[in-house]
Amino acid sequence: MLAWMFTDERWSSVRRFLYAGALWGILALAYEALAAAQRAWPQVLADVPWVSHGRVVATGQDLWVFGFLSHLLVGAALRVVGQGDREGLWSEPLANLSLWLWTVAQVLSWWWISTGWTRGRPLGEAPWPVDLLRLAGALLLLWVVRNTLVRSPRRDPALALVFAGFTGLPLVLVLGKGLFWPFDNPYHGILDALSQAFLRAGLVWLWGVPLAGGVCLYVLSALTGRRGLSEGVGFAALFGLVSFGALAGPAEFVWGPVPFWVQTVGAVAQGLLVLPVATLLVGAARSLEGHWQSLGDHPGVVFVLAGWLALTSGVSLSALASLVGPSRVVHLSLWGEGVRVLVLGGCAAVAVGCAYLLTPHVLGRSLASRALAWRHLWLVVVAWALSAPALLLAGLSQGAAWATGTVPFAHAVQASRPLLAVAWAAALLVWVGQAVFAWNLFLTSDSGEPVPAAEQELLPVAGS
Amino acid sequence: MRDAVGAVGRLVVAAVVCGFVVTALLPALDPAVRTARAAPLSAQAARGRWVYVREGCVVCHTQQVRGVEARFGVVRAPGDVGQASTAEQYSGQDPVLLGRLRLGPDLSRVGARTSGQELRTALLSGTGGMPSYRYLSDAELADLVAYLLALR
Repeated sequence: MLAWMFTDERWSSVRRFLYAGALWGILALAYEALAAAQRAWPQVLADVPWVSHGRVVATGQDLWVFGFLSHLLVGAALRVVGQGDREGLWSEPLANLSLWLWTVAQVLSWWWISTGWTRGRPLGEAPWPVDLLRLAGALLLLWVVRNTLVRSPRRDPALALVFAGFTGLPLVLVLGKGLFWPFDNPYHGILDALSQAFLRAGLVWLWGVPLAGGVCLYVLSALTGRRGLSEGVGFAALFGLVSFGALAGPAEFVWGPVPFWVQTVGAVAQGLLVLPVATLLVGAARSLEGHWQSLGDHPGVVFVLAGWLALTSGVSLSALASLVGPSRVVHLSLWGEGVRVLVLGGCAAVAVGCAYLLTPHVLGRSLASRALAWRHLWLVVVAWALSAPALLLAGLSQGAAWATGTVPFAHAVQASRPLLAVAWAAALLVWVGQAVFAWNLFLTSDSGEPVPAAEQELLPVAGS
Repeated sequence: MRDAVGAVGRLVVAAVVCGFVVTALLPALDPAVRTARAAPLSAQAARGRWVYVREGCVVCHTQQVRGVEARFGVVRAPGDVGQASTAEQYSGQDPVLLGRLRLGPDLSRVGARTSGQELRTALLSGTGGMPSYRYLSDAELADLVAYLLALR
């Protein structure tokens, strides 16, 4: 049993992270669909404590970020990191250990938040034992990735982005959740509010986006033989992402109860984040120059590009909402949920696209059904087209109603119900798409066409 | 890649630590924030606060009145959300329950505009688009109502 759990078989941890991400994704998106249903029809399962709305949202967010997105991104990231010198990861058993630590953490987190043990911080709900398990897993991954990368002879901004993500996560967990004093919250008052905002911004801009960016740039350039960003521009994007991402937290407090200067710092950083994200999008597109026919060949490529487009629109809308004028109307409204769908959904789409593209390089088999992957893509695109405008519009109408000063709160909520029903339908489509994705991965591992060993490698690209 | 790994590692550590210091620690060092002492909750209200945290009320309710809406914000009558919230008001709170989304009204001063009976009825029947919380025990419900009434 232990030999199986901590096997040193090449890419075993990568496979397991990808499978875990696909399975946690089914659960996470089921919670997302249930939460969306409860927003539209508040009495859905209201009498069952462990699926009451507050607990469903908290559990769902935790499953989404740490179960679904993180596992998928780590799986894809470990694959590209291990390709650097063609020897695989520095230590598969340690990477597998981190997988098991995260799996135990996710199960405990699911159970405890559902039963009401929570730290009460949006995106930081998990109790301290879960945090410590996640931190241990993150440190192990950082150690494995660091020791793998130092063997690589080439400097590559894509791999540097991935390394930045693995370095960022433990720091964000320790500082954002106060894990240097885990058994009791060391933060109180407004410091607690600001550290919560730091944690939320950090999980996106210092963890999810660097990993998604690095993996996508590496995979696309390896598949097309063309590097999309020069070394200088790539490292500049990394610098911008990390620097602005670490300062963007207070953007959610514009007009709120924190000093004006820190609101300004957050809003400016949030606006500047558009630059590195757009640079990474351009890099992904430039990798495909001369290979645009591959768009029609593989849904994974379209998934990656669609994800970056959604992410770039999400960060642009987020920057817009941080400006003093628009934030009067849209802050604290459903506009924020619409932005979250684009930013986190975009990140997840990049991860899913990379997972599709990496299938022959991880499982040693061709994707079992490209038709199913295309269906998954269209389900996600239709869901975005429905939910993002519905939530953004609902946010605008909410904010406008509050600003009149004459419309009672309950009326404004009632008016957004049809749009919330649309968002629920979209959440359901995404869940179906995730089930299709997991089924396709299962089919591939079970009966996919074997790929010759030489074609399982990802070739590094020498220049731009 | 060895030199790049070292440089990127140092960059990320420096950026994250600086980001945390600038956006979280420095604002909290303001003397007015550090010396502020919020009125303590009664034992029953403190228990009710944990029911509020456990049930995830913060998912739909904020406890922050923004400067721009202090005058014209409305739950029932224009302006009834009260004055703008300040950082000092949250002194000592763990966790702080500012919230990020309003599917329900802001609760910063709910105790000043609503009676205990109204709150109890709303929690049990689920009015105004809120789910009902019939599964709460009588004691938990009383604690939660006591906490909400303490928000003034």
